[in-house]
Amino acid sequence: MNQPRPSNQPPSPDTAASPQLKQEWAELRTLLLAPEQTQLTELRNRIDHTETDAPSVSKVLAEAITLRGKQDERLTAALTPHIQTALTSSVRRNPHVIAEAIAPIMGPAIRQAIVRTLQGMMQSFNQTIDHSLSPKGLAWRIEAWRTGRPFAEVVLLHTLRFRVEQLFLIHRDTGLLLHHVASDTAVIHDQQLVSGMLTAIQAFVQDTFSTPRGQTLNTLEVGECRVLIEQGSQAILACVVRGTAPGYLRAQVQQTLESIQLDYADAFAAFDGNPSGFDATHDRLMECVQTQYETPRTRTSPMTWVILSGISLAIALWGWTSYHNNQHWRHITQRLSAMPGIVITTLERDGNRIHLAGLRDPLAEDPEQILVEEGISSEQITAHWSPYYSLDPPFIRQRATAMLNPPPTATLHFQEEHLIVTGTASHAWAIEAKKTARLIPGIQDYRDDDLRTVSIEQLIEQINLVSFLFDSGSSTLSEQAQGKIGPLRTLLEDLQILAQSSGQHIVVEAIGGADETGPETMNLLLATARAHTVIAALGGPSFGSHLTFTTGIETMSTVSRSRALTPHTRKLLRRTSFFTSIKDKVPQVAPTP
Amino acid sequence: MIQKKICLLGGFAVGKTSLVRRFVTGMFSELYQTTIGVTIEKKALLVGDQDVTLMIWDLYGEDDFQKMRESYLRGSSGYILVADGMRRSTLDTAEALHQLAQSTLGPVPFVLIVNKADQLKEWEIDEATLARLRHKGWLVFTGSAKTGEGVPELFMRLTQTLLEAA
Ligand SMILES: Nc1nc2c(ncn2[C@@H]2O[C@H](COP(=O)(O)OP(=O)(O)O)[C@@H](O)[C@H]2O)c(=O)[nH]1
Ligand SMILES: [Mg+2]
Repeated sequence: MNQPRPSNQPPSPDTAASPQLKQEWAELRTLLLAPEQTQLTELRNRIDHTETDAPSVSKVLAEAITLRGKQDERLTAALTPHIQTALTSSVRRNPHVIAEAIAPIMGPAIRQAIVRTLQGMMQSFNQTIDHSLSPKGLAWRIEAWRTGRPFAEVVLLHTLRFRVEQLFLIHRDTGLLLHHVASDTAVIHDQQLVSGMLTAIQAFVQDTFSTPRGQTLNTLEVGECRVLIEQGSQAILACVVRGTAPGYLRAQVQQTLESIQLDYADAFAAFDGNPSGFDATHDRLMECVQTQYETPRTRTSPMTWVILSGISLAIALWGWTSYHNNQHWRHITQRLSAMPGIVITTLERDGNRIHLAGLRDPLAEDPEQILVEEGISSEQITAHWSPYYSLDPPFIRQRATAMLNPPPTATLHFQEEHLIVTGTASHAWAIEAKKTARLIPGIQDYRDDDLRTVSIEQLIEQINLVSFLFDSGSSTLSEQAQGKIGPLRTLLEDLQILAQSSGQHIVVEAIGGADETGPETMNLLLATARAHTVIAALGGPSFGSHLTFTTGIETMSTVSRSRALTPHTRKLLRRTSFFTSIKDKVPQVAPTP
Repeated sequence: MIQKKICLLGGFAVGKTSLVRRFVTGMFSELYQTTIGVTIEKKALLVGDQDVTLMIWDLYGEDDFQKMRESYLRGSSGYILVADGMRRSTLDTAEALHQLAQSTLGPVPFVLIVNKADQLKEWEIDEATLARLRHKGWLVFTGSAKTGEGVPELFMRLTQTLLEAA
């Protein structure tokens, strides 16, 4: 350190001349810069041997590739052949790896191609149905809307179990179409393309899943269509089925294919792309084209039966009740309309209430009574009646009787609007009745030709002519005398009625008599007894309010002593006779003269 | 009427799908859509007095899935090899595929098209290479799916060869 300070420039080891100095420099350098020296050596090593330093490269590799890729395409160009080679060798060694890797995208893609091809058929099918607006179609449309299913599906569900729409006979190796048949309803897209696609799918599936020979894709579902694929040694028979294919269909397709392969072995061997050699398969293929519609449901769920019987029971019950109600109501209506003197204009049921209106003769029965009898409470009834005169014969008779008030001796007869009166009546009544009868509604004509009219005086005269003879000394009525009692009583009764109507009073004096034989006192007693006997036979003193009986006697002393008595005259004295008189108003016993 | 199945074989994005679309529908689209799996197209042709329906199988782009290709190839009456003129390597791929097809199908007719002729300036494949192939007996076409150049001839020629071979 005591050495002269070198000029600005640091002393370089090479500038030192002496080896001694060199040696010292080296020592010094080592002393001062030992750690840095080591680091430098290390760095140099790294720079010189970069390619071997994998750990360091690995740290920046990803970043470096990204950066380089951004600059230009040379990295891609450099890598492409290597990646291609790598892929190639990978596939050669183990194709499954790649197959599995791409299968997920290839499957859907191929399926899509098929779907698009077959979709054409679908849409036209949907359209055909879209245009059918039958009631059934509408119902299905509603169901489709309700269940959120496509309409076509609903229709299929309802009508179609399955329908073989198309058959593709495909040459197995080339995928070329040998023959194609379709149902009338099938919408055919491009059968040659479909045929090719089906083969491609077959190949794809076989490749992708490396299935053993013989195990191939045998069913393909595209929307509502199912494609049954049968693969033979020469050909593929693909059968497009709409709906649910029955199990036997596959067997049938299989058999058809086998028989075709057998019978057309030559055609297959000679096949050069010309399918005309297979035209004859048509009929055989057509046998597979079939449609089976849903047979009308024969099986009904038990619940349906329960509901149905419930409904019919309810209907029956309702029908029965309403029938009975109706019957009852009809019965009521009939009874009401049959009522004389009632004309029903309104008869309504409004729930529980009954409205009645019409015409009612004042003499008619109360119609409400009939309703009440039929079990309808009077609170339920509203009735409104207008009065009228019924022209029913019973009513006319009733009305006539009420208005004419005939005496019991007279009878009213009603015959076809003619009122006929018979019997006996007072003259006054007869005149009054003739006047009134014309005013009675329903009476056209009044006849009283057969009515006998009698006056009080006439009756009294008749009565006064009657006498009852008695045997000598007897006060009992003889048989002959008894026969006179009835007619006399009738006369008395008539008389009393006439007296009643004219407000008069009748006094009937029964005069008993006796002949001169026997003592005077005995004769008086006998005469009195004979008068009383007759009164008693006629009904006694209480005959009626307007007729009174009195007694009188007629003996020899009272008649005439001077008269010479013949036996006949004598006999005439043994009798009871009558003297009838009229007392105005006050009934009084007439004094015997 | 006669039907024939043919396949298009070729490397990735060489224009197989475009060629088929051009031939079948007369259209072309710049939009690249990878064919996944297989697409089958149909085209009816009249060759001479013979009605021919071509069933054209367009396989997905990756070429080396040998096993799968075999099953798709099976039954082909012929095939079209497609190479992209702008990528030399696609011709090699086509040759390799040819080997495979022959081993699978036997000596069936085939044609080669070097596609994208509308981009001739950028071609990596020269006439000499094509001449060498023609010399081997290959039917070699150049054309473009984009312009349609050479496309009908390609399919027509293959179909004729198929009918002759049959
Ligand atoms: N310029 C040009 N581009 C093409 C032609 N043919 C195909 N392409 C394009 O190349 C790409 C791949 O084509 P594509 O047919 O899908 O190839 P694939 O994978 O073989 O089926 C697409 O972007 C096409 O537009 C062509 O003739 N000219
Ligand atoms: Mg493609």
